[in-house]
Amino acid sequence: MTIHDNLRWMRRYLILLWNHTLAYRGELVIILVSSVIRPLFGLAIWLAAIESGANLPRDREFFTTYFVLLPVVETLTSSWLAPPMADEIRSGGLAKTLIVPGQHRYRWTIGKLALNAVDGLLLLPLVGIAIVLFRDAIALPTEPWRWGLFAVSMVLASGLTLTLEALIGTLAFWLEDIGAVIRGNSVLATVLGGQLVPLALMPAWSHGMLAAQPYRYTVSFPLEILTGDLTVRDLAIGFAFQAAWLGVITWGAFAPWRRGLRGYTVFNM
Amino acid sequence: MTPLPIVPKHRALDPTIVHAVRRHLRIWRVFMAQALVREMQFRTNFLATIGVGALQLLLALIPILLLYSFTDAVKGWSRADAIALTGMAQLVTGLLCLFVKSNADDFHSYIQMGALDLVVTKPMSAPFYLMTRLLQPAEIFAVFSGLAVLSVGLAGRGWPGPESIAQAVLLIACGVTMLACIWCGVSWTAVWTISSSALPEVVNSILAAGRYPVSFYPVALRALFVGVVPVAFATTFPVESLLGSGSWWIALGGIALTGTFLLLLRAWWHFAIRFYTSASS
Repeated sequence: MTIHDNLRWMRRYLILLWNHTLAYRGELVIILVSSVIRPLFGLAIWLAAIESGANLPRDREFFTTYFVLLPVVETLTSSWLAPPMADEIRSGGLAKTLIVPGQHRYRWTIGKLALNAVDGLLLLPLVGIAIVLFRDAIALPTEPWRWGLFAVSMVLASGLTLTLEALIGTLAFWLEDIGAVIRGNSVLATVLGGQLVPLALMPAWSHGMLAAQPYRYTVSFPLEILTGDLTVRDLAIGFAFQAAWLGVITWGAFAPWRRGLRGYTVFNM
Repeated sequence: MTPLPIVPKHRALDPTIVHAVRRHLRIWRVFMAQALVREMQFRTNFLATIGVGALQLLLALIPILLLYSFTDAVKGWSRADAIALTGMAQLVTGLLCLFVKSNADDFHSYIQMGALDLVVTKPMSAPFYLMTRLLQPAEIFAVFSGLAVLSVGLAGRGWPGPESIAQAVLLIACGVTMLACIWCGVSWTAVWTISSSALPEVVNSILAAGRYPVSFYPVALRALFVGVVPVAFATTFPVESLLGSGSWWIALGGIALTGTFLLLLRAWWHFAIRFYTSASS
């Protein structure tokens, strides 16, 4: 296939996925409302602690900004690849994709882009309402360079979540049911990614370890850029880690994928 | 004209409500046996579920321990009380995952595959089938681990008396039943939306909110967690009972609310099934 053919196929596939996603718009709205509500519960807890006189290392403004922006970062970087991928591998549906030249390489990425684009559009009004509600307590950065770095880190974070999901999905070549692994990944991402508690609140002894693990770079790092926590040195180290993890996990996903494909046998086609 | 022969009436399947309940309990026993067999087939996933449950509990404790590293009490709740609440939330989550999760998560597949036709023609209550058909036995370990953490939280206060325990058990039963009603009720919206795979997200949000005392939340959210999405009856109120600050009035309110939720669920089923078109079958 030529580059032109591939691009044409990608465009058609993207439109197809958008149509498919919008067919389940009721479900989509439920996910988005839920993704906005959960951080607001977290905000309520930390504000209650501040009201009770807790001596927290961050102020009310930080918590409000962090938890209001959290659903935006979560939604735009999220990926739901492992369950459908595992399903295709188990059911034999993957065989159909493999006989079409080249396309399986891009299918998952385009799927993620389609979903994130629709999610982002639907999320905007909800986040807009949250920003209006908390306008007195939110501190958004005014420097354009910070927003630029935020955009770059979002692209890398998005790639990281996609490859992590792909890595988990490939386990379906060897495991009958990967539900527990998906759940485990979700739990780890929630805590280590800073979705439950900002990583800045973790004890000082854990900061080095938390800065090195990959989940930080899926959600927390882009947020840290916006909440103004990081120095230039921190930013450079952060981006280096983010890019390194993306490389390592991409390699980590491709190696078992190729190995799994070599031994792939479909019984029920 | 020769009179038509008198055809003997068929005996009703369930002459009384007691017969119906006994028959459905027998069916449920079969479902449980099948679930155990299935779980043994996927042994790796069984072990992974246990591991993930333990991890989930450990990670649920992190925010509590972090929060209380900055203060001794929040809104009257000490660290030990909050740990007990985390244990209770884990126990309730385990019960819901054991009995409800798979059924609620699977409902949309009945709609997509047209399998609901078969369910509504079975000689049993269709909502009963849809709410109890699948179980996840491995989740029993989440229940036990929740009990263990609850005990650790309560240990410093001295053990609660039988009355407090009875009150807590009653409140847990009410809370779990109401949350199960909500979970199933929301999953049944798949009759219109066709897919409800987003449901775990919603339920996880609700259960995550239940890991903290309702008094931590602003008044509007408190009202929501007591009257609309009554997660407080499953977590905060039972722990308050075990800590000795519960009230039988709350328990009575829980019973009344549970009755209301069950009636609403029944009405919701009858309403939703009217819109089922059987288009996929």
